[in-house]
Amino acid sequence: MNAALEPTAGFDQPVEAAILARAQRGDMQAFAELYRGFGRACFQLALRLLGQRQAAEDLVQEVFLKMIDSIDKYRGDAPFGAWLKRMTVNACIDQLRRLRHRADGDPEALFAQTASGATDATPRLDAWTLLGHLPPRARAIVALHELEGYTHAELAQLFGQSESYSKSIVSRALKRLHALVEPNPSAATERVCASRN
Amino acid sequence: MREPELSFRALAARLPAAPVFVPPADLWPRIAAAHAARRRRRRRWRATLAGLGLAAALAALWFAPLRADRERIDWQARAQALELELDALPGAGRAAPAAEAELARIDGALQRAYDRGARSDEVRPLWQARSELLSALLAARRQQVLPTRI
Repeated sequence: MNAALEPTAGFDQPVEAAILARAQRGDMQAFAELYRGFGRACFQLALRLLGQRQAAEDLVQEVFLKMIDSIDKYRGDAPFGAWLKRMTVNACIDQLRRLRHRADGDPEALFAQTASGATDATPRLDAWTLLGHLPPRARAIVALHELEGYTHAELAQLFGQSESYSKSIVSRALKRLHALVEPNPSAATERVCASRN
Repeated sequence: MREPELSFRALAARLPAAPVFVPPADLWPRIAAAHAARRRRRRRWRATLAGLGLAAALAALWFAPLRADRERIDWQARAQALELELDALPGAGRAAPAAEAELARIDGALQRAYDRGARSDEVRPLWQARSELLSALLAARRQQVLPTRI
């Protein structure tokens, strides 16, 4: 079968062994095909975690250059997409570490850095702008836990913190985001309960 | 009462769809160009290292014979030549007593070495010491001779 890589299929799509073999021989055409299949997913993940378009573009460049350098070490133990995704997440976390704030280790201080409430100037909310209301590190943790399915144990390991740190960040972040969407907490509670019934 | 569990997906589902972000069309050409530039830099760096290595190897080859020559000096022949030169100067046989004693000590050591069948690398330091002593004596004798010539 000769399935072409699909730009919108994300990290989960399989890659033909022939493309990987060509890439491992340094064939730039094969790398271009891998970019065609995974560049968009890589960019969107970086954008979700970093929140800035330019930072996401730089990160995709960094990840693909690193992938070109290290593809000869890829042994196929995990699907290629998962390997590239892990590389992207690690690069994002390294990037966040470089921008590290003193308050990053303390969930309470982390949220105190940014204003919490919606204002009149708040633009039309969607999932993307909603994430933008979180401090950078909290945004990354929420995106990885809620959208990418990372467990608290995995997040603790990735960020070099405890599981309770990750749980605390997610819980505080979600409360803040709910308050933005639903300024009346009783209404929010009723809605959650109703959706369960 | 336990608080209901909050979820980002549930929250996002109530909001308008987020825009779909796509990377700029020139991102791959930029990555490929950065890769090519990096390869050129690495190739230049490797060529520089190889050039330096080659220069070091050539220098080693160039200086190796000189070093070998230094090690191959025939101290025995040199000592014998110096002795003849010393004998030819006026006032021959009038070396300082300390120098005479040192010369005798070296000659004795040489004799004993040859008697026990010593290898050439064992006697070489003795010939070298004899040669250096004769060279010093010759220089001193020339200093004494010089004023009488004037």
